[in-house]
Amino acid sequence: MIRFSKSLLGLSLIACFAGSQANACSISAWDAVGPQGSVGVVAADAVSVQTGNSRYSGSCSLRLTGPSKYVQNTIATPRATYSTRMYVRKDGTGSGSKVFSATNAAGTTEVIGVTFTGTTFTFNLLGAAVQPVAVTVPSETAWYAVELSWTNAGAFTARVTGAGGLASTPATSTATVATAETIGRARLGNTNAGAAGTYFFEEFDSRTTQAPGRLCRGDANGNGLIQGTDRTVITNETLGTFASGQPDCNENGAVQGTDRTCVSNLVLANATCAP
Amino acid sequence: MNKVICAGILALVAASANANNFVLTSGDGVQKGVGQNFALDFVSSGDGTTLVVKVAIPDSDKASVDLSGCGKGLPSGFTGQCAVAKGDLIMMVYNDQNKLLPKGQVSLGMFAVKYADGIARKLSISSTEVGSPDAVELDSSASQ
Repeated sequence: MIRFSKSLLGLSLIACFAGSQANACSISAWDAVGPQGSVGVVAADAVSVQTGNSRYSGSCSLRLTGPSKYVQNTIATPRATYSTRMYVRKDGTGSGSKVFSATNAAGTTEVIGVTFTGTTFTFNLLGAAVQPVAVTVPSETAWYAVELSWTNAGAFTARVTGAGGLASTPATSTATVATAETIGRARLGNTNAGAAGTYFFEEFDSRTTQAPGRLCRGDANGNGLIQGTDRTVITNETLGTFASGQPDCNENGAVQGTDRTCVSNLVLANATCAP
Repeated sequence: MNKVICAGILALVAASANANNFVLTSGDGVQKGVGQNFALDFVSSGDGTTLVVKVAIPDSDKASVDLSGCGKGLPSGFTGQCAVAKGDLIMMVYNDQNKLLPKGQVSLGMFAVKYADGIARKLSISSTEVGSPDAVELDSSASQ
């Protein structure tokens, strides 16, 4: 299994410090900005929760406003199979963005495209819309996990979960779209010239075979369990000690008292983190 | 009822040597119309702020559980919530100010389990969790 995981902390992360010192957030693990690389992004777009920014997990997220701003990963050996997961959130302004685009190595053919307007996700496979056409989401400002799975023999599925309980029926291509194309580049951000609005991006993980799966919401301390201590972690975050896991249990974009209630409900439902 | 109280006190005295210890005490047999009565107590070391204890309910699909006594006796400022899910009775105790549970015996409340066939089952504590104000899980144990 080849795994490519892009934390917004990047490879050059300085050790995180609690308290008043800011955590260092970095996009250095992605392609450098340039004509063949990431476009329109600067280091300051990797923002820390300590500066008041929304994030899903850990301490950093990528915040992008406006069109044609994205990070890119060039895959050394283009892939015939591709599974990925990313977290996306819109802040409520703007009309929409193509938030993910996977192309061939030359960048001349888009294999997978994902567009998010704030109310719907739509998926394109080799330029054709995937059925069902749109996945409608309940909240324009919630966090959503987008999971994609593709093989160039033709199989494709897309699934959206988030907003504290939405789980869409996977959107699946209705026709086998076999192709000789492989995926050689992946772009995450406001990838199109018509993109409008501010978006947050988080926890991008792509693999050749096994699907990455989703992070465990409510697991505020990131230990893989839903426990009473997660409630305390959320309390402590509201008091200034930021959580290392996923404290935004209801996935509404902010860590608040309602997330404690969400954790309690999960504990009382005997919930476990999905494998 | 006296037998229940005596058994409970003996268990608590024994458990005091093991701090942060949950004690499940069962009533004496099956009471008609009520089922089996159980009491949950906690022998606190004074360093915990949240508790989660799970009691396995055998044949839970055939049981009805009265949770009206959940949290009765908790110290002021603490909230107790109970639910039955996936074969367990789950009790959670917390407060949102990171206040510590007092040292010593803490009553977590009572519950009753009634089976359609009227036959008593043996319940047991299946997991325990005590969390500190730093959100660290502390050592905890169970006696029954």
